[in-house]
Formats: sequence, C-alpha cells, structure tokens
Amino acid sequence: MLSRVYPFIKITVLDGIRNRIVIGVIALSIISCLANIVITNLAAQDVGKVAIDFELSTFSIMGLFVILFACGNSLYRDIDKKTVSLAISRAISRKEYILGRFVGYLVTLIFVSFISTIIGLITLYLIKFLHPKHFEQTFGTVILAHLFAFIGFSMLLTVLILFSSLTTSSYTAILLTIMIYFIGNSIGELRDFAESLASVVAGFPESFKVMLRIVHFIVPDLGKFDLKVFAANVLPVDISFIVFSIAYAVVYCMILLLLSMKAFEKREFI
Amino acid sequence: MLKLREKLIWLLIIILLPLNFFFLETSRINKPHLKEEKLFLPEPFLKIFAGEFNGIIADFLIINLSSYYGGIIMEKNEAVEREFDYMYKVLKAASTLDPYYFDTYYFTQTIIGWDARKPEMAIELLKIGTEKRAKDWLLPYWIGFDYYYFLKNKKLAAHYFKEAASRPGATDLLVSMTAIAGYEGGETEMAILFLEDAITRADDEFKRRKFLTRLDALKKILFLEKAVKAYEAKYRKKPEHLQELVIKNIITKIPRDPYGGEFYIDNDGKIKTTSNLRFVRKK
Repeated sequence: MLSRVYPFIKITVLDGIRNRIVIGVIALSIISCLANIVITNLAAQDVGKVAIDFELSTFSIMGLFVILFACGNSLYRDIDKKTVSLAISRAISRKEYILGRFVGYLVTLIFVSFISTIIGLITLYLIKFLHPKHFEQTFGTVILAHLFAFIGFSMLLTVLILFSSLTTSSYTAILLTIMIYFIGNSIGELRDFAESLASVVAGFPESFKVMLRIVHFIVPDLGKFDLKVFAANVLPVDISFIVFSIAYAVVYCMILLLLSMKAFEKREFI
Repeated sequence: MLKLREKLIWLLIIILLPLNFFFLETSRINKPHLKEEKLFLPEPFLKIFAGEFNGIIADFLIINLSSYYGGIIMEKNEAVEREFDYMYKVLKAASTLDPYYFDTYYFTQTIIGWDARKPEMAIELLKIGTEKRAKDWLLPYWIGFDYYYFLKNKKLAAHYFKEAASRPGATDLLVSMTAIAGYEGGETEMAILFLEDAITRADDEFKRRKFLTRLDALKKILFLEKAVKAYEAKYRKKPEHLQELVIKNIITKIPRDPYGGEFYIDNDGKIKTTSNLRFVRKK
C-alpha cells in the first residue's frame, strides 16, 4: 500500500512546497519577525512576553493560512476541477487518496512550520540579546508551544479534509473549517464559563451546559493546543496534560480521517 | 515605441512618488488627533471572542494605553477623571485577557494607584495579578504600599508586605518597608523608598521624569516634616505655619513645590501641599 501511496504523497508535498501561498507565508513570517523586533521596543517591562506572544501568534496565523489557502486550494483543484478523478482512476483507492493527501499536507505543514519556527526562534534570540533585562522566558516552552500549535494545525487539517469529502464545493469546506477554527478555539473558554457561577447569575439554563458539552465533544478543542500563555509567562506545563492532549489529538485525527475515508468512498464524481 | 511608453510609465511613477509622500504626510498632519476610547465586551465574552489571540490582544491594549497616556502627559501633564476611567477599563480588559501579563499591573499601579489616586481600584486588579503571578513579589508589595500610603490600613499593608517578602527575589527594600510600617507616621519615607525603586524600573523618559518630580516633592515634604519635629523638640509645641520655621532659624527657606503648589501645615500638624502632588493647572 505504501509503495502505491508514496508517489502520491510526494506529489502532494512538492505541489504544496512549490505553492506560491507557502512561499508567501514564509515571507510573511520573516516580515512579522522584523515587525516583532520593532514592536517589542514599545513594551514597558515584559518585553519577552510581548515578543513570544507576537511570534507564536504569527506562527498560528501562518499555519491557518497554509491549511486554508494552500491545502484548500489543492483540494479545490481536486474537487471543483475534478482532477481527483485522475488520481482515483489510477492505482490508488479512495481511502489511499485521503491518506495520501493528509500525509502530504502534513509534511508540507511540517516543512513550513519548521522554517517558521527557526525564523521565530532566531528573532526571539535577537530580542533577548537586545533586551536581556526584560526577557526571562525560556526557549523550551516556546518550542513546546510551537509543537502544540502544529498538533492543532493537524487537527484543523483533518477537519478540512472531512468537509472536503462531504461537501460538493471546496469553498464550503473552507468556510466550515474557518467556523470550526473559531469554535474550537473558544469552546474550552465557553465551557468554563457555562460551568462557572457567572453563567448561573447570568441566567443561562442547564440545557446550555449540556449543549456545550456535546459541542465540545464533537468540535476539536483547539484551545488546548494553544500554549502561548505558558510560553509567554514562564508557566509550568504539566506532563500529564502534554500526554493526554497529544493522545486526544491523535485519536481525534484518526476518527476524522476514517470518517473522511467513509464519506469519500460513498461520493460520486460526475 | 514600447520603450518610450515604459520610460513614460517610470517617469510618471517617479513624479507620483514624492506626491504620494507629500499627500501622505500632509493628511497625517491634518488628521484630527483622536484619543480613541474603545468599547469593551463584558469580561467572560472578551476572552471567548479573542480566541487564541487573547495574549497578543492584551499586549496591544497595554502598548496602546502607554501611548495614550504618554500623549496626555505630553499635552497637559495630568489626565482627567473620564480618561482615568477609560484607562482602568483597558487595564481590566487586559487583565481578563491575560491575567499573567506583568505590564498590566505595572500600569495599574503607576496610573490608577498613583496618578488617579484610586487605590481601591488598583488593588482590585493587583490582587488578580498577585494570585496568578505567584512568584512575583512586586505585586503584593504594591498592594501593601497602596494600603499603607493611600488607605492608611497598616494591618492589611503589613499582611501584603509579609506576603511579598516570602516570595523569591524580594529585595531588602521590604525590610525597610516593614520597619517603617512598624512605627507611627513614616508615610513619606515609605513613598520615597517606593519611588526610588520605581525610578530604577522606569524605562521611558516621561515616566522617569514624572517619578523624579514626585520624588523631589516628597523629599521636600520629608525635609519640612523633620524641621517641624526639630521645632517641636525645641519649643514643645507645633508651629502654626511653615514661616515660623524660617523665623526661628530651623530652616533657611521654605522649598518650592515642583507641582506649582505651596506647602502648608494642616490642622493635624502634617505637611501638605495645595497642589496635592498634581500639577497645578495654569489659568
């Protein structure tokens, strides 16, 4: 199976890396890093915190752009331009197509994330050198935050693939993915609020709590993979949190990929 | 022909560039200076809507606040009530978005605590930071100072000084603070110590200047307080007004208040100034 899928993965990766959007995103991350050096000069005391927040936010935006535009664009060609027929009419099955695309996009994301992380870390090191008194943060948590952000990207990627398998237009899939991105980032906070005393005072009914619990189960909890606050404020990250979060992401991605394969198998291409 | 057209296009661009620069700069100068006072969502929703960018939004709110307040200081030296209320809202929003961010509390103490003289409001925000930044000794120290100096609550001040002293990195300053808190009076010495520490932390010039002015005023108050004590020791009574200190050769002259006010002795025998340590507006 691997020998059949491998050339397809290779094509997806090469297509992704050569994509103008990916090059644009890398350029954006370089520009953002330069902006970071300028902006941190405006911070009063906690320069390190502002620098890390800015760097990790740029990284998040970059990942989102690659998923939505580079991967979304590739899926657009497959679905809307029907080039998918060429792939699945050859030696690979529909399941292998989904797997190949996912792995291919993932490798593209690893490539872009790696370059962006290196650029970001060099920038942070430079800022630390310029403001040694106001930069107490450690790079270990920053790297962990990048890794977790990348896991979040992978989850969002599976969401995009699932929606692409279900919908007839790639635009609908991209729009739905954007929606899930927003919900996924806020769902943890929303649940915290729903289960707090403030929601009782505000008069939210019990059904609201139940509904949020269901949504939380279905939608990827992307907020879990946002470690900016830990990296920027030198907060310790619990090992069990790391292990269970990664396990959650792996299981979630697997479920969504399996669902995508099922949906894609039943799909008709006219 | 084509080359000529290309040359013309380049020529046009070269002509347009300085025009663009001129219009850009002129429109920037002519633009009315707006001090933006934004509306904020209720606290629980603020964090939900910010999504994964709550940290960076908090950073920008504080950077924006710094320039907003800097503009006020440059323009008229002191902010008015409405402006202080707005700044408090910004600080509260920032502390909701990222309760770990040190700069939020730094500005809370300098702007809301000191400049706006709203210690209760400052303490409310500083308590959030004290809880979240469990290893930071500065925040309980500031709360202790506000209780001691502004609210005259020595019991709570001592509690927070003790809390600050128990945290890693607490300086010897707290020893002095606790010592001063131990005896009656001593508010001025406390404020001087606080400001001397604040000056070492102030990075930008306008803040440093502000602190130095306040330090100058407080040192003059301390000088007069000591003179009053010397007068009392010598004549077994309090002077009725500061001029008596000069007449009786305790001091050579009454120092000038850097805020433009005048020093006086109040009914309790304490040194006060008509400026209340704020710049007196010129009429």
